[in-house]
Amino acid sequence: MKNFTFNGLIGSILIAALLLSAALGLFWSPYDPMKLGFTARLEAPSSAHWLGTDEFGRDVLSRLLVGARASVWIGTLTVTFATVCGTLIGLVSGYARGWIDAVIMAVNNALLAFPGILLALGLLAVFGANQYGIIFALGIAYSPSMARVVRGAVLSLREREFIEASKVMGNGELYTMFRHILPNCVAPITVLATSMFGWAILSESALSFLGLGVPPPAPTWGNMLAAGRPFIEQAVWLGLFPGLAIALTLLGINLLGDALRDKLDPRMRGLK
Amino acid sequence: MLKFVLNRLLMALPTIVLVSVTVFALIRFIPGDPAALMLGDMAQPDQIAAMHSELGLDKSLPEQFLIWTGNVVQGDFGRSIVNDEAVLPLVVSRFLVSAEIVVVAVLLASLIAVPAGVIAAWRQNSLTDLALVGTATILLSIPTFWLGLLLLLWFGLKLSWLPVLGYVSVGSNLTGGLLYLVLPIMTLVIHEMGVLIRMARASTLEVLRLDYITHARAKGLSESAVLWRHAFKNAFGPTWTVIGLILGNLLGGIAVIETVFTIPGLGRLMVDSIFARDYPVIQGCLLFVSLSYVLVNLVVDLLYPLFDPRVVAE
Repeated sequence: MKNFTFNGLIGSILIAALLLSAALGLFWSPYDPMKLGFTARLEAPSSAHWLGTDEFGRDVLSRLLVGARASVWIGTLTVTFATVCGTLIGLVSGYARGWIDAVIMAVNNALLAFPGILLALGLLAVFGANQYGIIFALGIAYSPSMARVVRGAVLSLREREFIEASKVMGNGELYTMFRHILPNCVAPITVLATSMFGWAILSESALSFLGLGVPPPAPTWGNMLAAGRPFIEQAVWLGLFPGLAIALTLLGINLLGDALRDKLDPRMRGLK
Repeated sequence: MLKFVLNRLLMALPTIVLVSVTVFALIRFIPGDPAALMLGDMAQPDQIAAMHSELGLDKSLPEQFLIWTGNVVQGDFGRSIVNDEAVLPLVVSRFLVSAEIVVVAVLLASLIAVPAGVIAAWRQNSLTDLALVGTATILLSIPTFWLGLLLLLWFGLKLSWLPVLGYVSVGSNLTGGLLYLVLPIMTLVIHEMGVLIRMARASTLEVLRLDYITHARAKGLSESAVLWRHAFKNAFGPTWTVIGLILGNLLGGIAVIETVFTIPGLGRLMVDSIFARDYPVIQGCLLFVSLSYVLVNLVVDLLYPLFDPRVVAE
């Protein structure tokens, strides 16, 4: 348990730093992140530009702050989308059982049979490579995992006595589902949603790195790395800081996720 | 045993069908008319209609699906809109490039990470354990494309030990080709070690708590016999499944690594086809990778009894 608090603390600090940077990037940055400065191209980190400037003379720190906003925004919307869709599908499937469950789970498993970000790549071809395309593509790609976890929880819950009691008391199916079953699924949903936030931020930066994400000049950590790539020999900082931002964010989410899982999932207790 | 094999094969069948339907449907959802796209801006309505009937787009969707499936089964994945190349040979040749990187990387990562995870579990909460788990968690958090860039910067540009850009196939030039593969493989090995160390550790910990391990120790067996002959054998199953999942996930997510190291693999082909709106190639890549993923997992499942014979009896 000692381990848990330490990991949880570091994770919380990293995530708090991410959220603060994103909030800061919402209304303030040291320089205009889009302002070109042809006299200040590829400048090394200095007191004027803490993290240097890029190939167009734009301030890297300012772009990282605004990029944090993009990551958090896309991550939050993706996770919300996947959680709402996945939870509803899982609830219906697990509660209805029978042929409805069979059909939903068959489609669900087919979507889960696509590896990694492949399904998201295919969906991006449909929705178009932009911010909202990414949110829909990743949201749809992640919903099946949520649906599966929620369905599993519902299947074991619906046999419990307090659910039986709710029905005997004459409560409607929908009431029982949302008032009694859903609140008891919150723990597994929280654990999965936390990891999903990490997947979403990683996938978003990977897709932006591939040029399929948020199009430049709007900064995201992924497209900053891609744009800085040809210059990394003269300007190491262009390859260093955006990647560091992604890695620290993911580390924070992983640590926090581990801590949450230890706390909320009793089966994992003692294994960490 | 035969029943187990047949059962697994039958379970894979509906997945294969549903995956094919999904890929087919996905491409049909893409806005725009493929015929108009193929003919360009100057196309006349009657040319577009002729192209529709040539492509079978004037038929109903179920009919189109059956025709498409029939062609796919015969190995006809269609032709690229961009350069009229046959899709299947193109996809297969690019797949081989990606597969050599992924398979070697997963093999090396497993050989290093699985023993490391078992040792971490054996010395739970010791300094070794904390160091290994800490390292694994950090490795897990480093995106492969950033790690790749850093390795490229260090070994390629600063030290000039390894070639930075390009690709030579191992078949045409063995040592030259291998040099180009070192960095991408190293990147994937380092990243996947993070996942595997944690998995191997968790499943070993679960087994080490069981009574038969206490019994083996009480019997006076040496620690290494307890760990490798008794604990490891039972703990490896879940890790084996994860190795299969990683293999498939890497095939799906290889595009970023291929972009960093400019390797002409399957991932890059798919991304380029999305840019070019080359639907037959996108469709071919999607279908090929997802079916290989199903196949890899099937093979992993079928080999599972080698590590844990209990699943056959279930």
